[in-house]
Amino acid sequence: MSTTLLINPTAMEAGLIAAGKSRRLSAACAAAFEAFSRTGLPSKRMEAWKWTDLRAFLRENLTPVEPDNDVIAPSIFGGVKPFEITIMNGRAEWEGALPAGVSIAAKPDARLEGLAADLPLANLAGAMSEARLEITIAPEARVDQPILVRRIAGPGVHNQRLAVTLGRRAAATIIESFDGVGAYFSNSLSEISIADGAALTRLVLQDGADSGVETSLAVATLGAGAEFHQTALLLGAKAARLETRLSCNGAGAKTSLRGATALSGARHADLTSEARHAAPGCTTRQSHKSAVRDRARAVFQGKFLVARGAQKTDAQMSANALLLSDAAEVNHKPELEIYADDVQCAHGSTAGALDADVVFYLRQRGLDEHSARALLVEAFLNDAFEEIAHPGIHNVFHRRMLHWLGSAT
Amino acid sequence: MLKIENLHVAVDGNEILRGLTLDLPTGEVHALMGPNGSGKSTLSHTLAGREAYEVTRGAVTLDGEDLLALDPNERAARGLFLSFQHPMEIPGVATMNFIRTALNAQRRARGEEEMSAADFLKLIRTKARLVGIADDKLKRPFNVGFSGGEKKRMEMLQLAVFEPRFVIMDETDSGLDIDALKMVGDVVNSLRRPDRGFLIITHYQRLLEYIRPDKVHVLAGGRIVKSGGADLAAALEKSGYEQFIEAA
Repeated sequence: MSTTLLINPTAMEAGLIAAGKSRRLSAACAAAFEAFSRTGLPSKRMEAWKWTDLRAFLRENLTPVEPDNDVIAPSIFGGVKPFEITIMNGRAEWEGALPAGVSIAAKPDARLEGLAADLPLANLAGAMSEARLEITIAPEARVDQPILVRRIAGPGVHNQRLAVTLGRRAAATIIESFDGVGAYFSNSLSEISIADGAALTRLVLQDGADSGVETSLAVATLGAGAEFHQTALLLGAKAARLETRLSCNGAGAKTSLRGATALSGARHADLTSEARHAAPGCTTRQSHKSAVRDRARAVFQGKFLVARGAQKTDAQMSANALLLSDAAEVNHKPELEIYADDVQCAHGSTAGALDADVVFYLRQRGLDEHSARALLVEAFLNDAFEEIAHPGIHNVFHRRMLHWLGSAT
Repeated sequence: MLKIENLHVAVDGNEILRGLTLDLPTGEVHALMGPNGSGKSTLSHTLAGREAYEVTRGAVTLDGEDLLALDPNERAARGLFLSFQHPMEIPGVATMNFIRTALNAQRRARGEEEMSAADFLKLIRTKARLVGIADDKLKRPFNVGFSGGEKKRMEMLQLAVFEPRFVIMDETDSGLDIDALKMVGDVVNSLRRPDRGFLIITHYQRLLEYIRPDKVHVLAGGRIVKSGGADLAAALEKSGYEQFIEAA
């Protein structure tokens, strides 16, 4: 990725750099900090951030406020009885018996490796996170109980790192939720490694505050025959970005990236992904739906990369958007970059308004205008969650989407 | 009684209906015929409350109530049903769920209790058999991938389920084969009742071989130019509409 040099730091950037300088950094963290100091926050001058100008969203420095730990509401995933890890303002806590085959540790000073070392926000998380929370699934372990990583941000700046490692032929479901209160910048890095034949289901619910900025970057590598299945629901924030970078390094790896963005008010949400196919016979299915009303803005950037030699890659991408008001905005950028000749790759992208003829048809059948429109938006978004096999988790996503639909503006 | 008096309707500033007057008494079946562009579909959309159709003069009442003051869904709840010439597809919404949602929206608006899932299932299965729709179609997304004939059957299914007070059929016969035409005729005939009115809008006489209307009206140039008994339809089939186009 091309980065730009930091010339005139904003108050936020100056604050981040001052905070880094005042900390005693390990060699690994110092290297990341050094890299971040050179670039600062990503801005619209970087192609990958042209529609989410993070630097502009985060001009002012944010004052941290001591959290009141007593007021954490129960997670909306409580009903599915997950093993729950709470990361409050960057600090992880968990209790109770770990599911069989799962170990959890907090490791300070973990070095950034591979792709992540080039990315400004990965460097920021690498430099400033208190520790890396490491979830390891033992080889052959099939973990039925979902593991919930719940990130809650209060006012201020928070960085957090998570590593998820699946041993050979292991299987697990990780739910990552992001929410917060007040004016905050919450920056998360997830480093995921899926060994041969292992399968990870990652379910993301991003639900930030109106004045919060949330960025999440997940970098995942897959071994031969490994699987990664992600479904995400983005409800936005002042600005939110969920970025997923996959590297299919082993033959026959399978990935799917599904999800929906549902935005109101002046919210902004950005779903960015890159799936790199580096070995033959890998399959990727991506589909994303966005429904945007008021003055909100949804960004979708999806990229498939097929390396030379990654023959028989089968990758399909679709992005569809529904604009529910005149001022709503959607930016789509599907990209294919292919260096192998025997592959099947396709992408499709649509954006439009609700069909007035269909709305009238529903009203003639007795539905009032709000119900008619809501029914059509629900129908549009519904299949975004169809890959969530766990009925309880599917239900939480569906209900959260309905709640958004019902909150008319 | 659906009463239309001196109705003037403009679409994009062009006046399409120019003083249409028509009394459609409860318990009767009236046919409205006319050449292309005479305003037949404009009338059906105006009666159903389509926004782009601007009523510039005139009045429409359903059993004395001002129909034009009501939203489309309120008109539906009062018992006005329009069978569309081009029924819509609704991807992502199962047929059965859609029809039940609509039925219960109408019932709620009338202050009636919603129909339970079990009662509805019984009802829709019976009515589906009547119009020749297989049960598995009821689970599929509404009208998605259905043929023109199947979509018209879906309109007839809703007609049979909603049991409206007044039915407007906008060229329901267009694109139908003989079997489907007969089905439409059977459904309408089975629903003819003293407390229900029908306005059957059609270009051709052939549907009227299955549904014998009480009266036939000819629409040309945005107003009714001739009214008569059922025989008028047969006479039109021979003489064509040219005489009326010139007169209008």
